[in-house]
Amino acid sequence: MPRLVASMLAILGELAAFLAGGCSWGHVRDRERILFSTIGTRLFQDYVFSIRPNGSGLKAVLKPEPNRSYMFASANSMSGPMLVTVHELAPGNDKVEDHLYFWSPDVDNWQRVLPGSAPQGPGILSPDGNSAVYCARSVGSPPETSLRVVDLRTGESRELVAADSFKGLYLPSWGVLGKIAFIRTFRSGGLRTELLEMPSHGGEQTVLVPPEDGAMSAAYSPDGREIVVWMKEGLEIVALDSGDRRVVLKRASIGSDYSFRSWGMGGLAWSEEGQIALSLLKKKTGESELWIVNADGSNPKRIYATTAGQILVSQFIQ
Amino acid sequence: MVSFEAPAENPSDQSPVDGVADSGQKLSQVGSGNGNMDTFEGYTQGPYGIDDHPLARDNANWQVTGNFATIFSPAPCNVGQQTHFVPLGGAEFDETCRV
Repeated sequence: MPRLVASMLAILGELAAFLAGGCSWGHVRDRERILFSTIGTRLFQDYVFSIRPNGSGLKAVLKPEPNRSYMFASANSMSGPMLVTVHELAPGNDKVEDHLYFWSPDVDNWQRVLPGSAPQGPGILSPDGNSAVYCARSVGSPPETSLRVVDLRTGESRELVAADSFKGLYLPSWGVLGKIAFIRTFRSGGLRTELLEMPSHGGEQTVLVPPEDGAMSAAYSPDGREIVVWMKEGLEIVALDSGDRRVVLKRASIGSDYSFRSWGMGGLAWSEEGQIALSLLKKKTGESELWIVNADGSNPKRIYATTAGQILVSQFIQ
Repeated sequence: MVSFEAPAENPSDQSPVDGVADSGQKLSQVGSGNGNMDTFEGYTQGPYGIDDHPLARDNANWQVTGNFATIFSPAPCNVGQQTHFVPLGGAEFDETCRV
């Protein structure tokens, strides 16, 4: 195709996006995309996608291959490197393992973050992109998962939260003020969950949401001063300085046909533009739905749905 | 298999469970398929709660069992069992423990 024609088509495409996006030309909302994965209903059918917050421009960022698929990706920009959790066939072809890779989309270069023998699971990038926090599962009975931080420049990994046979550690979120929040699970008359926060370099853990509120997933605000949490009442925002809470999306308001399915990583994202992305499972149809709601609770809407897999929100990127 | 648990405070939600024993037995082959295993055993793995069996035969009917007693003591939901047809390309069996 002649380059001039290609350029004109690109301009038309941007014009269509401009019109679909509410005519906010040049605004950050036009550049923002939601990064998410879909956990497939069959082996090696897990994709990474991006989509505009208005539901337009769905784009497959990583498509599965015969012996590998992509469970989760974390990035600070669409063009920059991504931390990708790859689900791949192990030597011997009889089992499947998850490995963390650092992927450079511009040159399609894949680099292992950790040795294959090291316990590893899904992770997210730090705001500066130099480190990542990830779930490290060791094989045992019962299995144990610790949270670890890896320096992506040196490959050195350190323990952030030690494993405990009776407690699960999942869903880390890394805020711009240098804090990491995570969900700790334990069993006491059923599965209990609590949301904790600690400095990314280690130190004291603070309970942000106690077990009686049933926190399932959390994501920091862009300024790191608040955190949005899916919990018993629905979607709530917690102010980290005062502890004040406000409900953004009441569970009762979306109906009893919806449930929140956690996947141990991701699940919520908060944009610079003050929008929150989450996925909900519609039980009657089996559709996994991607929703957007403003941080003040206004304008909740479904922007995408699929039955080909379960949507797992990662983050907003530009 | 994918194993989930319903949290006590939000029983309509689902959280993945790590370490649930899963096993499967092929009941009948419907036509030619992929894979070479007629049985499997394993454990679901965190944080997704998934255990894949890439060599299990597809295009066949399978009985799959999830045993939560490997991680709960006492096990509140014990053993879940399902029988389904697995088409070419595979299928997912979900087991959810609800207390």
